[in-house]
Amino acid sequence: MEVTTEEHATPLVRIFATKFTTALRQPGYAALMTKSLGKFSLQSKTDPQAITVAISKAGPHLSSGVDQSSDIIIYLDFANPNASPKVKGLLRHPLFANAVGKLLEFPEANWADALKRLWDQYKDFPGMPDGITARSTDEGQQLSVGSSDEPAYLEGNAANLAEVFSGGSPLVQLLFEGKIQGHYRFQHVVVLSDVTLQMMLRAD
Amino acid sequence: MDDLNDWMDQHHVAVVRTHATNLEGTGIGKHLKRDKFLSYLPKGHGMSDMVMTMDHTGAPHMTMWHHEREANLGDIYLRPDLDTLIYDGTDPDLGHCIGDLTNAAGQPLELCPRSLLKKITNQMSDAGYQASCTFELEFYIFQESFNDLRAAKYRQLTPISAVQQGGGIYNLRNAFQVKPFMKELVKRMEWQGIGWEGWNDEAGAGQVELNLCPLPPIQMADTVVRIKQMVYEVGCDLGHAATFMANLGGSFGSGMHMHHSLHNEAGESLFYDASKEHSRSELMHQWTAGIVDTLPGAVSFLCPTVNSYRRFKQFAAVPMIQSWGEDNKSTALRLLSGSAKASRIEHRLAASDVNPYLALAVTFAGGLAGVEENLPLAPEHKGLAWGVPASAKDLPINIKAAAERTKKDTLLNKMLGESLVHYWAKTRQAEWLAFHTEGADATSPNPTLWEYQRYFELV
Repeated sequence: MEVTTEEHATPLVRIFATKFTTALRQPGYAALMTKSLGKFSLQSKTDPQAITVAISKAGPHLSSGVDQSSDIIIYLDFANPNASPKVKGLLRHPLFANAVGKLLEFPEANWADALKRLWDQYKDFPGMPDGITARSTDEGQQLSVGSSDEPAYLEGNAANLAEVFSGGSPLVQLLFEGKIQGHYRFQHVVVLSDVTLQMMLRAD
Repeated sequence: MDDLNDWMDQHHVAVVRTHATNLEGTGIGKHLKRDKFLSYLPKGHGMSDMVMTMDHTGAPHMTMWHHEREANLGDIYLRPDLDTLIYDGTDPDLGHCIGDLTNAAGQPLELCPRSLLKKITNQMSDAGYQASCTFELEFYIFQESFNDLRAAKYRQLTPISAVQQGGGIYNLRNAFQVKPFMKELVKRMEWQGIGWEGWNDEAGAGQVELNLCPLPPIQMADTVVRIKQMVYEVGCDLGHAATFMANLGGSFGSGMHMHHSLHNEAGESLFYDASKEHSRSELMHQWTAGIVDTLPGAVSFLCPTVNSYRRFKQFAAVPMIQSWGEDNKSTALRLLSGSAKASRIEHRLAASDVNPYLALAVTFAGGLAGVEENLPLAPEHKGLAWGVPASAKDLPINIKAAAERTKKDTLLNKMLGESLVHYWAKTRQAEWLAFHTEGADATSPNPTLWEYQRYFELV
């Protein structure tokens, strides 16, 4: 399945497109989506942001706004995933609603695979460090990519490392939130934040 | 130094306010005691390099790198241009001095808009071209103060003049209501030696247009940043909010039309050639061709904010397509080529929230490229350039699309520098991202609270 978006997609559309792309690398998730054909919309409870996801056999197509022909519309707080959502259309499409609920529980990426993928794609990006060393504080695993002479060093739990290396959030956001720490040059923080932002927004 | 001390004694200057602008056009500087200001010369005083790389809210650019940024958040310098030293006039102890942003070695920074304009005008001088230019400044004035509007979240904006419903233009009764504000403004301008030609009531309710005397490019842009600061200060002193925001939701936004002409060292017009059709010189054709060719890429510089793009409406006095025309106010470039004295180009695209240094730099970069590349001038657009069928000439009308065009414009990359152009494009992407993810309603037909809070007092 391939994730597609409308032309001139909004940031929210792009962010969810990245989430779906990452999740679809996992066979179980791809199988679930193949069985979950239909259309749903996500509407923010706190601001005007909204997206619609139409899942066909070809894959999910994302567009901005609420499509009133959606099978279900979910009202949620994008900034607070723990807040309970409200669902319109639940009674008419209970199975689809259940499937969408599972699809929106995006599986955690493997941070080491995500780091390798990031490095392969962006190692020549201007200003990148010569190497990156990352360590998961909960698993105690460490991985280095590129040169190990003076790498940018980042550590955090596996979920947060996966979040940043797969383009779920820009690095600077997780640094500000204290979810990632490390030893690095200012330039490398900025450039890695740029790279992870471009991944998140599926830069043109 | 003795002359400088004498001048300061003569004008009772005890404090000097230094003034530079960053890419957003935000005025930055310090108030320095006179002896400290003098002791820093010629290098100027240090400031965190963050001031050069921050958005309108003061948030540092954390997702874009430029080689001029300090590796560990060091200092850059604001080097005063002593030719710009003036006394305030209103504050009896204060002097003002505009300057350039430099590195520790005193070299101009690529991300300094004033230095960028200098680079381009130096190239023009090398080619034998001197420019004379002026801007038409449009802005809105309100009954309420800045504090009132801020507290009311900009829900109640009462135009200072609205005698004629819907606005009107050149309306003398509207102008009478504006006069106390404008009288104070032009008084302060004259105290500071700023030349002006006239002002009038403009099309929007509470909107004014101010016309300035032509000057060389750097001096003109310096004048604009001074006036923008002064309009804000007069507004604060008189208790009336005033803004250069490009669109406030009505039919008429605020633009900043730029007029410029080229002449040689002897002061002879280089745009005028009596032997040619319409008396337009070959240089004027090539220069215009370059500006037209780079117009889609220049939009991002000329319309820098999310709010700038709300001006783009058919028949709202804003150019919509890549075009030029002789004395045509619907085209992006209006050529006026009737006489040696008046031959000039009026560039009608810039929004009032534009950074004047960047506006002139990108325009002149286009003109120079047109000459260097010997570009042919596209056919003149005859008739109205609004409401025409969609075509490849349509200008990008949102901040992200415009930034993409800028990034891909090979001539602007060559003339302005690829690293600057790409950095600029990233700053516009950040502006687009902030608008969409910080609660603004992207579908709203009117400016959002996010826009008012970000731009109203700062552009």
